Amino acid sequence: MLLTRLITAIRPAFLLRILAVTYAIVVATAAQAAAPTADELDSIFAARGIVYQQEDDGGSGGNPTIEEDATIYEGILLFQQRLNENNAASFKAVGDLVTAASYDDARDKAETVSGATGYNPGRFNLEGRWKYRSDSRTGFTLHTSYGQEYAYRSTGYGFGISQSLNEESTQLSADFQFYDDTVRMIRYDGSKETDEPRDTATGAFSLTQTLSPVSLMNLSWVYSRQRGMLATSFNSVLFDNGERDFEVLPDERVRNTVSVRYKHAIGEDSVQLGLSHYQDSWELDGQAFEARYFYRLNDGQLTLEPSYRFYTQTATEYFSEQFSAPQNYQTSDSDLGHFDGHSAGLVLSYRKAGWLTKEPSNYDIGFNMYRRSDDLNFYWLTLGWYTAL
Amino acid sequence: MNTKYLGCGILTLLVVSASACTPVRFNERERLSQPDMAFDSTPLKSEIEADVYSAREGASGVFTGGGGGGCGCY
Repeated sequence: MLLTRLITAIRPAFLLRILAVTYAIVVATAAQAAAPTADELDSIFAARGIVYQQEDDGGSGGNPTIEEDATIYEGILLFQQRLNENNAASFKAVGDLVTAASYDDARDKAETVSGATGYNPGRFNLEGRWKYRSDSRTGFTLHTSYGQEYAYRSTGYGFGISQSLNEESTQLSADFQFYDDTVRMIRYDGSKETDEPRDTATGAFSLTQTLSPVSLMNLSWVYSRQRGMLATSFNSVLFDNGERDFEVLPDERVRNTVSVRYKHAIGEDSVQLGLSHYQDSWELDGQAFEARYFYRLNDGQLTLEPSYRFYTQTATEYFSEQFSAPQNYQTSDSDLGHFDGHSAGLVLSYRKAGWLTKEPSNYDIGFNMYRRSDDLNFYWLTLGWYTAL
Repeated sequence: MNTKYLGCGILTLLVVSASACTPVRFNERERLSQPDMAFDSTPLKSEIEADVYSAREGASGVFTGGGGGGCGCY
Protein backbone atom coordinates (compact mmCIF):
# COMPACT_ATOMS: atom_id res chain seq x y z
CA MET A 1 0.00 0.00 0.00
CA LEU A 2 2.84 2.36 0.89
CA LEU A 3 4.69 1.46 -2.30
CA THR A 4 1.56 2.02 -4.37
CA ARG A 5 1.01 5.42 -2.82
CA LEU A 6 4.62 6.43 -3.40
CA ILE A 7 4.59 5.29 -6.99
CA THR A 8 1.40 7.19 -7.76
CA ALA A 9 2.76 10.24 -5.94
CA ILE A 10 6.01 10.70 -7.82
CA ARG A 11 5.21 9.96 -11.48
CA PRO A 12 7.73 7.14 -12.01
CA ALA A 13 8.58 8.10 -15.58
CA PHE A 14 9.62 11.59 -14.47
CA LEU A 15 11.67 10.27 -11.55
CA LEU A 16 13.40 7.70 -13.76
CA ARG A 17 14.26 10.45 -16.25
CA ILE A 18 15.74 12.59 -13.49
CA LEU A 19 17.69 9.62 -12.10
CA ALA A 20 19.03 8.73 -15.52
CA VAL A 21 20.11 12.31 -16.24
CA THR A 22 21.72 12.65 -12.81
CA TYR A 23 23.57 9.35 -13.13
CA ALA A 24 24.76 10.23 -16.64
CA ILE A 25 26.04 13.63 -15.49
CA VAL A 26 27.81 12.18 -12.48
CA VAL A 27 29.43 9.29 -14.34
CA ALA A 28 30.31 11.19 -17.49
CA THR A 29 32.11 13.94 -15.65
CA ALA A 30 33.81 11.84 -12.97
CA ALA A 31 37.28 12.09 -14.39
CA GLN A 32 39.76 12.62 -11.60
CA ALA A 33 40.27 10.47 -8.54
CA ALA A 34 41.96 11.63 -5.35
CA ALA A 35 41.85 11.13 -1.61
CA PRO A 36 38.32 11.39 -0.21
CA THR A 37 37.18 14.50 1.59
CA ALA A 38 36.75 13.29 5.14
CA ASP A 39 34.96 16.23 6.72
CA GLU A 40 31.43 15.04 6.01
CA LEU A 41 32.13 11.72 7.72
CA ASP A 42 33.89 12.96 10.87
CA SER A 43 32.44 12.09 14.26
CA ILE A 44 30.58 15.04 15.74
CA PHE A 45 28.04 15.90 18.38
CA ALA A 46 25.74 18.88 17.89
CA ALA A 47 22.97 20.36 20.00
CA ARG A 48 20.70 23.23 19.05
CA GLY A 49 17.74 24.87 20.71
CA ILE A 50 15.26 27.47 19.58
CA VAL A 51 12.64 29.58 21.30
CA TYR A 52 10.10 30.83 18.78
CA GLN A 53 7.50 33.48 19.56
CA GLN A 54 4.69 34.41 17.14
CA GLU A 55 2.41 37.42 17.62
CA ASP A 56 -0.65 38.39 15.62
CA ASP A 57 -0.92 42.02 16.73
CA GLY A 58 -3.75 41.49 19.17
CA GLY A 59 -5.73 39.27 16.81
CA SER A 60 -5.72 41.54 13.76
CA GLY A 61 -2.54 40.13 12.17
CA GLY A 62 -2.44 37.20 9.77
CA ASN A 63 -5.96 35.78 9.57
CA PRO A 64 -7.94 38.43 11.52
CA THR A 65 -10.76 36.01 12.39
CA ILE A 66 -8.63 33.69 14.56
CA GLU A 67 -5.95 33.86 17.24
CA GLU A 68 -2.51 32.99 15.86
CA ASP A 69 -0.23 33.68 18.81
CA ALA A 70 2.19 30.81 19.39
CA THR A 71 5.25 29.87 21.41
CA ILE A 72 7.41 26.92 20.42
CA TYR A 73 10.47 25.48 22.15
CA GLU A 74 12.49 23.08 20.02
CA GLY A 75 15.62 21.11 20.77
CA ILE A 76 17.72 19.04 18.34
CA LEU A 77 20.50 16.58 19.12
CA LEU A 78 22.75 15.14 16.43
CA PHE A 79 25.31 12.41 16.95
CA GLN A 80 27.46 11.21 14.06
CA GLN A 81 30.01 8.40 14.35
CA ARG A 82 32.64 7.63 11.74
CA LEU A 83 32.63 3.87 11.20
CA ASN A 84 35.72 3.64 9.00
CA GLU A 85 37.48 5.58 6.25
CA ASN A 86 34.44 5.57 3.99
CA ASN A 87 31.36 5.22 6.19
CA ALA A 88 29.56 7.10 8.94
CA ALA A 89 26.24 6.73 10.71
CA SER A 90 24.24 9.45 12.44
CA PHE A 91 21.21 9.75 14.67
CA LYS A 92 19.13 12.87 15.18
CA ALA A 93 16.36 13.57 17.67
CA VAL A 94 14.02 16.57 17.58
CA GLY A 95 11.56 17.54 20.30
CA ASP A 96 9.05 20.41 20.41
CA LEU A 97 6.90 21.93 23.12
CA VAL A 98 4.08 23.95 21.60
CA THR A 99 1.62 26.51 22.83
CA ALA A 100 -0.42 27.78 19.89
CA ALA A 101 -3.90 29.27 20.05
CA SER A 102 -5.33 27.39 17.06
CA TYR A 103 -3.56 24.17 18.05
CA ASP A 104 -4.76 24.31 21.65
CA ASP A 105 -8.29 25.20 20.57
CA ALA A 106 -8.49 22.18 18.27
CA ARG A 107 -6.95 19.94 20.91
CA ASP A 108 -9.30 21.11 23.65
CA LYS A 109 -12.39 20.62 21.51
CA ALA A 110 -11.15 17.32 20.16
CA GLU A 111 -10.70 15.88 23.64
CA THR A 112 -14.46 15.65 23.96
CA VAL A 113 -14.85 13.54 20.85
CA SER A 114 -11.56 11.71 20.40
CA GLY A 115 -10.65 10.80 23.94
CA ALA A 116 -7.31 12.57 23.62
CA THR A 117 -5.63 13.41 26.87
CA GLY A 118 -4.94 16.93 28.02
CA TYR A 119 -1.23 16.14 28.30
CA ASN A 120 0.51 16.55 24.99
CA PRO A 121 4.26 16.96 24.60
CA GLY A 122 4.01 18.70 21.21
CA ARG A 123 6.09 16.88 18.66
CA PHE A 124 9.06 14.58 18.30
CA ASN A 125 11.03 13.34 15.31
CA LEU A 126 13.76 10.70 15.11
CA GLU A 127 16.08 10.19 12.16
CA GLY A 128 18.79 7.67 11.32
CA ARG A 129 21.23 8.23 8.48
CA TRP A 130 24.05 6.31 6.83
CA LYS A 131 26.73 8.03 4.72
CA TYR A 132 29.23 6.51 2.36
CA ARG A 133 31.97 8.29 0.46
CA SER A 134 34.21 6.39 -1.93
CA ASP A 135 37.87 7.04 -2.68
CA SER A 136 36.76 8.45 -6.02
CA ARG A 137 34.68 11.04 -4.15
CA THR A 138 31.30 9.55 -4.93
CA GLY A 139 28.92 9.78 -2.01
CA PHE A 140 25.75 7.90 -1.10
CA THR A 141 23.32 8.49 1.75
CA LEU A 142 20.33 6.59 3.08
CA HIS A 143 18.04 7.86 5.79
CA THR A 144 14.75 7.15 7.49
CA SER A 145 12.68 9.12 9.99
CA TYR A 146 9.59 8.95 12.13
CA GLY A 147 7.75 11.90 13.64
CA GLN A 148 4.58 12.39 15.60
CA GLU A 149 2.56 15.33 16.86
CA TYR A 150 -0.97 15.72 18.12
CA ALA A 151 -2.75 15.73 14.76
CA TYR A 152 -0.02 14.35 12.49
CA ARG A 153 2.25 11.35 12.02
CA SER A 154 5.09 11.08 9.53
CA THR A 155 7.30 8.32 8.21
CA GLY A 156 10.12 9.36 5.91
CA TYR A 157 12.64 7.62 3.66
CA GLY A 158 15.36 9.09 1.50
CA PHE A 159 18.52 8.51 -0.44
CA GLY A 160 21.10 10.70 -2.13
CA ILE A 161 24.07 10.62 -4.45
CA SER A 162 26.88 13.14 -4.74
CA GLN A 163 30.08 13.56 -6.70
CA SER A 164 33.06 15.90 -6.44
CA LEU A 165 34.79 16.81 -9.69
CA ASN A 166 37.56 19.00 -11.08
CA GLU A 167 39.85 18.64 -8.05
CA GLU A 168 36.84 19.30 -5.82
CA SER A 169 36.01 22.57 -7.57
CA THR A 170 32.62 21.12 -8.48
CA GLN A 171 30.17 19.28 -6.25
CA LEU A 172 27.01 17.73 -7.65
CA SER A 173 24.32 16.15 -5.54
CA ALA A 174 20.84 14.71 -5.93
CA ASP A 175 18.67 13.85 -2.93
CA PHE A 176 15.32 12.10 -2.98
CA GLN A 177 12.92 12.11 -0.07
CA PHE A 178 9.58 10.42 0.46
CA TYR A 179 7.14 11.03 3.28
CA ASP A 180 4.20 8.78 4.05
CA ASP A 181 2.25 10.98 6.46
CA THR A 182 -1.07 10.65 8.23
CA VAL A 183 -3.34 13.56 9.13
CA ARG A 184 -5.68 13.13 12.07
CA MET A 185 -8.94 14.67 10.92
CA ILE A 186 -9.74 16.71 14.01
CA ARG A 187 -11.93 19.61 12.93
CA TYR A 188 -12.15 23.14 14.31
CA ASP A 189 -15.52 22.34 15.89
CA GLY A 190 -14.22 19.24 17.69
CA SER A 191 -15.70 16.69 15.27
CA LYS A 192 -13.46 13.88 14.12
CA GLU A 193 -13.31 11.94 10.87
CA THR A 194 -11.24 9.03 9.59
CA ASP A 195 -7.50 9.69 9.33
CA GLU A 196 -6.32 10.76 5.87
CA PRO A 197 -2.95 10.17 4.11
CA ARG A 198 -0.58 12.86 2.87
CA ASP A 199 2.26 11.70 0.62
CA THR A 200 5.21 13.86 -0.38
CA ALA A 201 7.96 13.05 -2.89
CA THR A 202 10.85 15.49 -3.26
CA GLY A 203 13.87 15.63 -5.53
CA ALA A 204 16.57 18.17 -4.63
CA PHE A 205 19.39 18.80 -7.10
CA SER A 206 22.38 20.92 -6.19
CA LEU A 207 25.53 22.18 -7.86
CA THR A 208 28.29 23.96 -5.93
CA GLN A 209 31.01 25.46 -8.10
CA THR A 210 34.24 27.13 -7.00
CA LEU A 211 34.67 30.18 -9.20
CA SER A 212 38.00 31.49 -7.93
CA PRO A 213 40.27 31.16 -4.86
CA VAL A 214 37.92 33.55 -3.05
CA SER A 215 34.45 32.85 -4.48
CA LEU A 216 31.98 30.05 -5.09
CA MET A 217 28.34 29.60 -5.98
CA ASN A 218 25.56 27.12 -5.33
CA LEU A 219 22.57 26.42 -7.52
CA SER A 220 19.69 24.24 -6.41
CA TRP A 221 16.39 23.06 -7.79
CA VAL A 222 13.82 21.41 -5.53
CA TYR A 223 10.87 19.60 -7.10
CA SER A 224 8.14 18.35 -4.79
CA ARG A 225 4.83 16.61 -5.40
CA GLN A 226 2.28 16.19 -2.62
CA ARG A 227 -0.92 14.18 -2.69
CA GLY A 228 -3.70 13.47 -0.23
CA MET A 229 -5.09 15.61 2.58
CA LEU A 230 -3.21 18.86 2.06
CA ALA A 231 -5.50 21.14 4.05
CA THR A 232 -4.91 21.69 7.78
CA SER A 233 -7.66 19.60 9.35
CA PHE A 234 -8.56 22.09 12.10
CA ASN A 235 -8.43 25.24 9.93
CA SER A 236 -11.73 26.92 9.05
CA VAL A 237 -13.07 29.70 6.81
CA LEU A 238 -15.59 32.39 7.74
CA PHE A 239 -18.65 33.30 5.65
CA ASP A 240 -20.35 36.69 5.46
CA ASN A 241 -23.30 35.35 7.47
CA GLY A 242 -20.99 34.52 10.36
CA GLU A 243 -21.01 30.75 9.85
CA ARG A 244 -17.85 28.68 9.46
CA ASP A 245 -16.83 25.74 7.32
CA PHE A 246 -13.76 23.50 6.93
CA GLU A 247 -10.73 24.56 4.95
CA VAL A 248 -10.77 22.66 1.65
CA LEU A 249 -7.75 22.46 -0.69
CA PRO A 250 -6.90 20.33 -3.75
CA ASP A 251 -5.51 16.87 -3.08
CA GLU A 252 -2.42 17.50 -5.21
CA ARG A 253 0.27 20.19 -5.09
CA VAL A 254 3.33 20.38 -7.33
CA ARG A 255 6.03 22.73 -6.04
CA ASN A 256 9.21 23.98 -7.71
CA THR A 257 11.96 26.12 -6.23
CA VAL A 258 15.08 27.38 -7.97
CA SER A 259 17.73 29.06 -5.78
CA VAL A 260 21.16 30.49 -6.41
CA ARG A 261 23.65 31.52 -3.74
CA TYR A 262 26.99 33.27 -4.12
CA LYS A 263 29.77 33.60 -1.57
CA HIS A 264 32.79 35.90 -1.81
CA ALA A 265 35.69 36.44 0.58
CA ILE A 266 36.62 40.02 1.37
CA GLY A 267 39.91 39.71 3.16
CA GLU A 268 39.24 37.89 6.43
CA ASP A 269 35.49 38.49 6.08
CA SER A 270 33.00 37.09 3.58
CA VAL A 271 29.61 37.93 2.14
CA GLN A 272 26.87 35.57 0.99
CA LEU A 273 24.01 36.54 -1.33
CA GLY A 274 21.04 34.44 -2.39
CA LEU A 275 18.05 34.62 -4.73
CA SER A 276 15.19 32.15 -4.94
CA HIS A 277 12.06 31.72 -7.01
CA TYR A 278 9.17 29.45 -6.00
CA GLN A 279 6.06 28.44 -7.92
CA ASP A 280 3.36 25.85 -7.29
CA SER A 281 0.24 24.41 -8.87
CA TRP A 282 -1.98 26.39 -6.49
CA GLU A 283 -0.83 29.57 -8.29
CA LEU A 284 1.26 30.70 -5.33
CA ASP A 285 4.50 32.42 -6.41
CA GLY A 286 7.24 33.42 -4.01
CA GLN A 287 10.57 35.21 -4.31
CA ALA A 288 13.30 35.51 -1.69
CA PHE A 289 16.48 37.56 -1.43
CA GLU A 290 19.04 36.97 1.30
CA ALA A 291 22.29 38.68 2.31
CA ARG A 292 24.68 37.55 5.05
CA TYR A 293 27.98 39.04 6.15
CA PHE A 294 30.55 37.01 8.09
CA TYR A 295 32.70 39.34 10.15
CA ARG A 296 35.66 37.34 11.49
CA LEU A 297 37.58 38.52 14.51
CA ASN A 298 40.64 37.19 16.28
CA ASP A 299 41.71 34.96 13.39
CA GLY A 300 38.26 33.41 13.02
CA GLN A 301 37.80 32.47 16.67
CA LEU A 302 34.88 34.88 16.88
CA THR A 303 32.42 35.42 14.04
CA LEU A 304 29.59 37.94 13.82
CA GLU A 305 26.96 37.13 11.22
CA PRO A 306 24.37 39.83 10.50
CA SER A 307 21.75 38.81 7.95
CA TYR A 308 18.77 40.23 6.09
CA ARG A 309 16.11 38.35 4.13
CA PHE A 310 13.25 39.67 2.03
CA TYR A 311 10.42 37.39 0.97
CA THR A 312 7.26 38.11 -1.00
CA GLN A 313 4.47 35.81 -2.16
CA THR A 314 1.22 36.04 -4.07
CA ALA A 315 -1.93 34.51 -2.60
CA THR A 316 -3.02 31.09 -3.75
CA GLU A 317 -6.12 31.25 -5.94
CA TYR A 318 -8.17 29.55 -3.19
CA PHE A 319 -7.41 32.18 -0.54
CA SER A 320 -9.76 34.81 0.84
CA GLU A 321 -10.03 36.34 4.30
CA GLN A 322 -13.80 35.80 4.14
CA PHE A 323 -16.20 34.07 1.72
CA SER A 324 -19.74 34.93 0.61
CA ALA A 325 -20.63 31.28 -0.15
CA PRO A 326 -18.99 27.83 0.05
CA GLN A 327 -16.39 27.14 -2.64
CA ASN A 328 -14.97 23.92 -4.04
CA TYR A 329 -11.64 24.99 -2.53
CA GLN A 330 -11.42 27.56 0.24
CA THR A 331 -8.80 28.67 2.71
CA SER A 332 -8.16 31.66 4.96
CA ASP A 333 -4.77 30.39 6.12
CA SER A 334 -2.66 33.55 6.18
CA ASP A 335 0.43 31.54 5.19
CA LEU A 336 -1.27 31.02 1.81
CA GLY A 337 -2.26 34.67 1.38
CA HIS A 338 -0.31 37.58 -0.08
CA PHE A 339 2.33 39.19 2.11
CA ASP A 340 5.83 40.60 2.12
CA GLY A 341 8.25 39.59 4.85
CA HIS A 342 11.38 41.29 6.17
CA SER A 343 13.68 39.26 8.37
CA ALA A 344 16.85 40.45 10.10
CA GLY A 345 19.14 38.54 12.40
CA LEU A 346 22.48 38.43 14.15
CA VAL A 347 24.47 35.32 15.10
CA LEU A 348 27.57 35.38 17.32
CA SER A 349 29.81 32.31 17.06
CA TYR A 350 32.78 31.47 19.25
CA ARG A 351 35.23 28.65 18.66
CA LYS A 352 37.32 27.28 21.53
CA ALA A 353 38.83 24.02 22.78
CA GLY A 354 38.93 22.93 26.39
CA TRP A 355 35.61 24.12 27.82
CA LEU A 356 33.38 21.09 27.49
CA THR A 357 35.61 18.87 25.36
CA LYS A 358 39.29 18.59 24.49
CA GLU A 359 38.42 18.95 20.83
CA PRO A 360 37.58 22.40 19.43
CA SER A 361 33.94 23.31 19.95
CA ASN A 362 31.76 25.92 18.29
CA TYR A 363 29.25 27.85 20.40
CA ASP A 364 26.72 30.24 18.89
CA ILE A 365 23.81 32.40 19.92
CA GLY A 366 21.47 34.12 17.47
CA PHE A 367 18.41 36.31 17.37
CA ASN A 368 16.08 36.86 14.41
CA MET A 369 12.97 38.92 13.91
CA TYR A 370 10.52 38.56 11.03
CA ARG A 371 7.89 41.17 10.21
CA ARG A 372 5.12 40.27 7.76
CA SER A 373 3.08 42.91 5.95
CA ASP A 374 -0.12 41.28 7.27
CA ASP A 375 1.06 42.02 10.85
CA LEU A 376 1.82 38.42 11.78
CA ASN A 377 5.28 38.83 13.29
CA PHE A 378 7.68 36.40 14.89
CA TYR A 379 10.99 36.26 16.73
CA TRP A 380 13.31 33.44 17.53
CA LEU A 381 16.38 32.91 19.69
CA THR A 382 18.78 30.06 18.95
CA LEU A 383 21.56 28.48 20.97
CA GLY A 384 23.92 26.02 19.32
CA TRP A 385 26.95 23.91 20.15
CA TYR A 386 28.86 21.35 18.15
CA THR A 387 32.13 19.57 18.66
CA ALA A 388 34.33 17.01 17.01
CA LEU A 389 34.50 13.69 18.85
CA MET B 1 6.66 30.25 -16.77
CA ASN B 2 7.10 26.62 -15.75
CA THR B 3 9.87 26.46 -13.15
CA LYS B 4 10.26 22.71 -13.63
CA TYR B 5 11.63 23.27 -17.11
CA LEU B 6 13.42 26.46 -16.04
CA GLY B 7 15.11 24.47 -13.26
CA CYS B 8 16.11 21.67 -15.64
CA GLY B 9 17.47 24.18 -18.14
CA ILE B 10 19.50 26.18 -15.61
CA LEU B 11 20.86 23.05 -13.96
CA THR B 12 21.94 21.53 -17.26
CA LEU B 13 23.52 24.80 -18.40
CA LEU B 14 25.47 25.20 -15.18
CA VAL B 15 26.61 21.59 -15.07
CA VAL B 16 27.96 21.95 -18.59
CA SER B 17 29.52 25.31 -17.68
CA ALA B 18 31.02 23.92 -14.51
CA SER B 19 32.65 21.03 -16.29
CA ALA B 20 34.39 23.58 -18.51
CA CYS B 21 35.68 25.68 -15.57
CA THR B 22 39.38 25.75 -14.78
CA PRO B 23 39.71 24.04 -11.38
CA VAL B 24 40.99 26.01 -8.41
CA ARG B 25 44.04 24.03 -7.34
CA PHE B 26 44.48 22.66 -3.82
CA ASN B 27 47.29 25.12 -3.06
CA GLU B 28 44.92 28.00 -3.91
CA ARG B 29 42.23 26.90 -1.48
CA GLU B 30 43.46 28.33 1.81
CA ARG B 31 40.71 30.92 2.07
CA LEU B 32 38.04 28.59 0.69
CA SER B 33 38.84 26.04 3.40
CA GLN B 34 37.79 28.41 6.20
CA PRO B 35 34.40 27.49 7.78
CA ASP B 36 32.73 30.77 6.79
CA MET B 37 33.34 29.96 3.10
CA ALA B 38 31.12 26.88 3.15
CA PHE B 39 27.40 27.04 2.53
CA ASP B 40 25.55 25.67 5.59
CA SER B 41 28.73 24.74 7.47
CA THR B 42 27.26 24.85 10.99
CA PRO B 43 25.37 21.61 11.73
CA LEU B 44 21.59 22.07 12.18
CA LYS B 45 21.71 25.89 11.79
CA SER B 46 20.32 26.11 8.26
CA GLU B 47 17.91 23.29 8.98
CA ILE B 48 16.28 25.04 11.91
CA GLU B 49 16.06 28.31 9.96
CA ALA B 50 14.43 26.52 7.04
CA ASP B 51 11.90 24.95 9.43
CA VAL B 52 10.89 28.39 10.69
CA TYR B 53 10.56 29.90 7.24
CA SER B 54 8.74 26.98 5.63
CA ALA B 55 6.25 26.85 8.51
CA ARG B 56 5.14 30.46 7.99
CA GLU B 57 5.66 30.93 4.25
CA GLY B 58 3.82 29.35 1.34
CA ALA B 59 7.08 28.44 -0.39
CA SER B 60 9.29 25.48 0.45
CA GLY B 61 12.83 24.50 -0.49
CA VAL B 62 14.07 28.10 -0.49
CA PHE B 63 17.91 27.90 -0.36
CA THR B 64 17.68 24.42 1.21
CA GLY B 65 16.42 21.01 0.16
CA GLY B 66 13.15 20.47 2.05
CA GLY B 67 10.13 20.27 -0.20
CA GLY B 68 7.33 19.77 2.33
CA GLY B 69 5.99 16.84 4.28
CA GLY B 70 7.27 15.39 7.51
CA CYS B 71 5.55 17.96 9.70
CA GLY B 72 2.05 19.27 10.31
CA CYS B 73 3.71 22.57 11.26
CA TYR B 74 0.87 23.58 13.55
